Amino acid sequence: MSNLAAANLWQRKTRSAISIFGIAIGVALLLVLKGMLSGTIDEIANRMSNTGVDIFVYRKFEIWGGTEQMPHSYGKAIEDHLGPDRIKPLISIVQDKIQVIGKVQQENRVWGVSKKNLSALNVRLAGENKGRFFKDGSFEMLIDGRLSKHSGLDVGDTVRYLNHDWKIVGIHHIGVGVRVYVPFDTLQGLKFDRKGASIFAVMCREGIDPQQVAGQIKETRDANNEKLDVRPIVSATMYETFRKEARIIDDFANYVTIVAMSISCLVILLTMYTVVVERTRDIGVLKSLGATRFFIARAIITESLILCVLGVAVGVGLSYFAAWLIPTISLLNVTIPPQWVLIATLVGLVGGVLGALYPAAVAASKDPVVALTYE
Amino acid sequence: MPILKTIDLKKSYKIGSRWEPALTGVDMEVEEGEFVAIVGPSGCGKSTLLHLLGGLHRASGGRIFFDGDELTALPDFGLAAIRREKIGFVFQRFNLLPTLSARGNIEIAMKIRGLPTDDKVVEILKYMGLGDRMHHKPREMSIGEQQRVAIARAIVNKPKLLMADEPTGNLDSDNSNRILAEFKRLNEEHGQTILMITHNSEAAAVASRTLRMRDGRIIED
Repeated sequence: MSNLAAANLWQRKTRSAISIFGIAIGVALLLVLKGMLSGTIDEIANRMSNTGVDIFVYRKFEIWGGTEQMPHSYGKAIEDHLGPDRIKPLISIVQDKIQVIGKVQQENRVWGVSKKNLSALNVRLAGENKGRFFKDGSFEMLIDGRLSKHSGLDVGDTVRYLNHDWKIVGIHHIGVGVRVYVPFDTLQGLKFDRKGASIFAVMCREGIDPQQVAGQIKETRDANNEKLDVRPIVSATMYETFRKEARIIDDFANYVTIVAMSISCLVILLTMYTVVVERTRDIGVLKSLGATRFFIARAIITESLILCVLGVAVGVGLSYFAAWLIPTISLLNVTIPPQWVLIATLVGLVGGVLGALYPAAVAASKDPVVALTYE
Repeated sequence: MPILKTIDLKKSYKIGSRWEPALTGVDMEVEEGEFVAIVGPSGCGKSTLLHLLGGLHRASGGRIFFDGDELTALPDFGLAAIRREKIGFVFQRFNLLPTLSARGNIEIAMKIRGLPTDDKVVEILKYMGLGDRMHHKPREMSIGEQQRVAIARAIVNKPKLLMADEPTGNLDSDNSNRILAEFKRLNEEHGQTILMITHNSEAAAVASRTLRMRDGRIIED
């Protein structure tokens, strides 16, 4: 059976290759999309976690990219409410976004942090010859090694940002916080008129549960006894939080799953239907040899399964190639979740088998004499 | 007792809104071990008769008995089983599967029957003088070789009846003589029952018995 199917596929190499490629595209589309979603969230969650911050406090309704201003009084209220026995002094961060940096035309977050807090956030230089930290109040900038590589910028280069020229004074180690750091007071002056911050970073004292602290932050009240308009996100649960925030992308990925399955289904349907029409005479021969309807249908489905297995294999291969290539040419990350390789495989195979059912039924029900005399 | 018997066998085809008779009442018997040729002009119903006797088509009326089974009473899967186990077909256009080698074309018949493919395939190819062609695809073989592969495929499962539909129709005289000689050898050396349709009187002369058809019925035995 598989010999016949393989021989038939080999006979029409170009068509088989196109079908395999069609299925592979569907599978790769699905895996790369899921991989980019996972890779991006994974990387951001890791980078946030590597800062050593236990809780990031944002303005309410803001997500991790939020740049809304919060008054300093919020920070003070949180410190007063929790007390120095439970938390270390808060780190104030002004968060902004930079759209173009060197050759990179992709939005990157910028943190305004005071020089002394860089070390508290585990930011360190990428090497001995990678410059120095910025001076507070200056128009100096730190970028990470990956952004430096992709943007073509290095220590001594200048970046135009917020209508000012910023001098890159250091390249910091990748994987901590954000890719771009500038002095807190400079960015605060430009964005918030020297008042407030976008994020209050909370580090708990040893033995204090961040979840409990986050709950207490939500209950904190200001001088007017009003609840603070804040949203605390615990670093340890950041991955799950981000996934919830990105649910719309997840939903989109699920629609892509359906589209991918439909593509596989259609590719196989068209291919196998053409095969059945083209091999009508062969089907008649098989029937004259006593092949049952089941045998004929199985021959068609086996052929489609071979196409699907090869298509899935090529698709998974393409996805892993993309997972390697995309981060080398951009700042995006692709992490293909292993369970999605399984899902994509099932999508490819099930889509293929579903697509083969109709052609298989057509082949199985052919009249042997009509088939034998088909021209 | 005949291996094959028909009683008032009829077949009509619907053409447009009217029914066109192809067989108008065929009564015939074939004994086991006979080599029977059915001859007649084009359109007399020879091929239709072969298709009905081989279980490829259903009759419009009458009955067919073959090796203890009434074909006209069998469901589709029953007819498929008869074709698989008891009948071998040789066609005018050989009808080999183009993607398989000579060996593959014979093995597929065994696989359909559910038999293991073994040295028997090699033996039968050698018997047919194709020992050195077993890995060749149909397009790489001469028409005579292709027809010999088709005969090998038809007899590999040792059918009770070998049916041939104009087996020399596409062959030159040398190849025709060789194919007919093969049929005769199978019949005489192995007692193979053969039913051959032909419009070629020289081909028919090889058979031990000739049935003549005209206008959908047998007019001479």
